[in-house]
Amino acid sequence: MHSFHTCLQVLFWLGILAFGLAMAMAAAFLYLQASSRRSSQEELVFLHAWRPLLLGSFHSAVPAALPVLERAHRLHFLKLWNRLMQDSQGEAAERLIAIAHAVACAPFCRRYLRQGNRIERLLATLTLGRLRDHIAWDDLVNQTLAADPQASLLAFHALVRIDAEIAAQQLTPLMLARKDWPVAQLASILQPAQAAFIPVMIDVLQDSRAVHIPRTLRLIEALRLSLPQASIRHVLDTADSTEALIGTLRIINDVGLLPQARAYLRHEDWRVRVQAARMLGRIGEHADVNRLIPLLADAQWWVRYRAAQALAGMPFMSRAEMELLRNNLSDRFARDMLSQVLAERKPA
Amino acid sequence: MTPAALLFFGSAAYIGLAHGSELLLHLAACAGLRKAEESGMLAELPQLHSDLEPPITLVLHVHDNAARAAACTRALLALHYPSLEVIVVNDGSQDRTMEALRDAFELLPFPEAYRIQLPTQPVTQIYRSTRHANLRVLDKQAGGCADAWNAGINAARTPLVCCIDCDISLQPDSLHSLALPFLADADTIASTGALSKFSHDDRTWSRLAFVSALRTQLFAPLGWSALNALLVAPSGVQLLRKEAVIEAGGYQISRTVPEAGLLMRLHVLANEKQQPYRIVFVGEALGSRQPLLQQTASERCRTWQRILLRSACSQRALLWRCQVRWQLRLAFVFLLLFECLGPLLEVASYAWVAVATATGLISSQACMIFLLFAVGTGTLLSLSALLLDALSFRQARKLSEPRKLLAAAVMENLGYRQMRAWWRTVELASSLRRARAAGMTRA
Repeated sequence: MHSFHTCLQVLFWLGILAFGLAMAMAAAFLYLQASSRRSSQEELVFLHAWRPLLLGSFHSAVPAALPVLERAHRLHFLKLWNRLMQDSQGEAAERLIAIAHAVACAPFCRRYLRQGNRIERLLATLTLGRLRDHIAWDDLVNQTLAADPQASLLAFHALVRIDAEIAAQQLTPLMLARKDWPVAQLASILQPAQAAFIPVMIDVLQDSRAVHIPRTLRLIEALRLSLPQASIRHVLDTADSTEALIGTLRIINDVGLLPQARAYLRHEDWRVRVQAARMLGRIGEHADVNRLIPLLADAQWWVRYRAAQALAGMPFMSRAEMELLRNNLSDRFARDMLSQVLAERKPA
Repeated sequence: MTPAALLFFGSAAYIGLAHGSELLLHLAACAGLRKAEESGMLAELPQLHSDLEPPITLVLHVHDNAARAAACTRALLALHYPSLEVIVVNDGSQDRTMEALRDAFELLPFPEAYRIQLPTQPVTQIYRSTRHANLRVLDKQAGGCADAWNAGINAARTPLVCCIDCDISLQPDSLHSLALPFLADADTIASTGALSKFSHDDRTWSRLAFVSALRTQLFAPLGWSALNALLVAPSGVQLLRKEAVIEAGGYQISRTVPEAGLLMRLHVLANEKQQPYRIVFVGEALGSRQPLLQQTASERCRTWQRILLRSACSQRALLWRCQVRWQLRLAFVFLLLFECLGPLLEVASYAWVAVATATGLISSQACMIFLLFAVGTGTLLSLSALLLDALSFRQARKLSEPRKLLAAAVMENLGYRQMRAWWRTVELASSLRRARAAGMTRA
């Protein structure tokens, strides 16, 4: 009986504790809602004063006297300024940058970058990049080492904006090593600065011990860069992984490499055969038709499909020739695949 | 202690354990939500896009739905995504579905070298639209939704596939949300989200449903996702790596809820191969069910219970399999104890306490303490969901009348939650009856 009452008491106090915690959570919820409402109202006040001013700078000179940017409005300013910078270029962008300097944006952004919370750091990173603020270089480099992929990638973007040449020299190894930086986003960042990065990436490809060759090749493909023949030949000669081979075949656009690349049509890995067939579709010669025909009967569907597409895409292969080829094929799978690709290319 | 007292404390312990473990899941979800509020603020800022997003094939199953097949297909073609193919699978419709599609999209027979990677009912004809280059239609013999989806997967030519039904309408940018985990991590094999809108109107019922949806369809899956142990997705919308689905055998034809068990099979397969993988819950509403086809609250509960039961039954070997991560085993035990059997045990606990009090086996004071404990921990759970929501999504969701929401969080534990448990118990009982009848038929 005694233990029953003890357990009941424990249950009672656990219930009270749960209710107490629930009440604390309710209070926190109400506080958050109120602060969110307050913050929205503050933002409205800020937008009322500053939006017309910043929008006006698209068309006319910066006013001589700007209102004082209150400390509480700094984050709202950075948000609005970055949004407008995205859509502006030329003189309009320069005028926006002048406004940012006039309100002493760079100093408080540098402070945010060093001591701010995550939102402050991210907005400051974005702004300092757009302001091409060299003073913040070291702090931004530090941020590229952060575990947070978004913060580190934004810092890399800012550094590329500030000085692409130095960023390429200093940060290419990091960029290739950080697997958490998506290639698609890196391609967006490097697009306007590719001239600075091409030589460094070629150097990476020359180093056969480099572990990041497949990632470098993916970046090169995403940026649609053309590499010198010698560099690609070197990678083909030294590639020690299927991924590197696939990456190289995907970027070959040089007829001079055909003799070496054709050998991969018979590679044991079907993914390599697929890329070899695609490559012939891009740059193949008349003599390659007979090399592609056996691939139409390959055991792998994708090899057959890409070989058929390569044949159909060759500028010297007419539709009549393709149909003749199809009718003469003895392999049913090869015939079916050519029929499909011919139908795909038939004008609607 | 008497047997009645032991049962009493057993009931309380079960409810405490169920609520406590869900609260721990909310804490696990915090890891993934840490940046959600900030991302909400930054969402208005310029994003990095490069049109290098992985191509996606949407597979739409249609069956005897001439009235809506074309409209559903058009809605999918209008989704915002740079590289999208739509494959509509007409699953042996007896009405004018095929004619409606042919008229709407000017379909022409297409001699496709169709590759059978997953066995399905025969595909009789493949069509290509002359209006939309990214639309194909498969006409096949009837085999059910799972069979149709498998046929669509066979025909898909992209690395990612998403199979849906005609009663789901997706948000314009839902595919972007689903594709992001694949962009961020090459090991991702599946991503999924919720179909609830996570919003409410002025009705009390709507607020109750909102609080309940936050708990069950947002933060619990987010918690499991943070542990990479999401076994069952709250919506049927999943973006899947095609290779992984084919390796897992595709959707299970025999099941009336085709998506049940697929995520679990993907987990098991990746575990067996000891390969790194991620199955991600994106924490966003991807769309909604069509209003005309919306189920009632009780039907939704029962369907959810059915999916949970089927998923658990299909992979019960997870309990004793050796090469399974502890997170997966934990998730499976949780699924069995608190999801599949939870409603029954919860209803039984309340019923036992009520009967014991009425018959004098326990005092009314003990009964009140039991209720204080059950409602207190339940309210704590509901409020924790509301607070997490306010912390993570306050930029995205402007909640109106927060005091009424707080009241809903308390009221949810004073009848609504118990009612849901009752509906799910009824489904559990009828599932058991069906299983027994099927067993007897086989015997």
